Amino acid sequence: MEVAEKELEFADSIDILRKRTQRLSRQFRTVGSADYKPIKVGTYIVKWAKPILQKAVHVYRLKELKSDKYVLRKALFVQIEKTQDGETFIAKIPWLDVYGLGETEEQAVEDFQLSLIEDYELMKEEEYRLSDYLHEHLADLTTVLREI
Amino acid sequence: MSLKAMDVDRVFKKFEMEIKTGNDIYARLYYGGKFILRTRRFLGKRKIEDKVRYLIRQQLQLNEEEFAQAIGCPLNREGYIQILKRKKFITTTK
Repeated sequence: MEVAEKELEFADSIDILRKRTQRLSRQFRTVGSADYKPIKVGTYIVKWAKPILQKAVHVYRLKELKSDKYVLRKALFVQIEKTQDGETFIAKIPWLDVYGLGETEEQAVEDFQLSLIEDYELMKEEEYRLSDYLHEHLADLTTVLREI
Repeated sequence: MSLKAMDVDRVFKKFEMEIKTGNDIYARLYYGGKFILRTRRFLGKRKIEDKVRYLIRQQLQLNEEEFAQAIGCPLNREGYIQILKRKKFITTTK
């Protein structure tokens, strides 16, 4: 198994990802960046992954959504990764099943915001017939954003 | 192992997912009147890199082997539904 595949399989463990996010949140909580766009708050070497592969994760503090209808309940720490070909950036929060893609970090974060809102609207629209898994996802989304 | 966008489209179609096109291509799986899961891929025909492939696979709730079978054709909708039932993403009783 290649190292990259091992890493992906390793990342399947949600518990580990949750712990990583909590640690990142603690680490960057005191950083005073006000907007996700130009401000990179840090590059974090993921120490828990050291036995398999160390990788750099850029973290943005997303404080507000570009939306007239929704606001974030709290600032989010969005991780930015680059695909292996270097052409696409991925913005995601490990414990939330939403991601954004873009050709630049900023585009990826914008797409992430859009996905967050679209997903929330879709889940609300279909709430009466959501599977248990999607109900949990909606609950997660509800902890992240709310309607104005 | 990167993918072609059309391979993913073929999986969506094979699993009889409801497809909607907007900013991206959205695929939703319904079964027994319930909305089971959803995923998406970006518009266009460029290849899908490993990390994005991983995200799509995760949203489809498949492991690497199952996803490879879906791409390689042996896994059909019935098989997929059985996998989701086994993993408790589809429950028959409330």
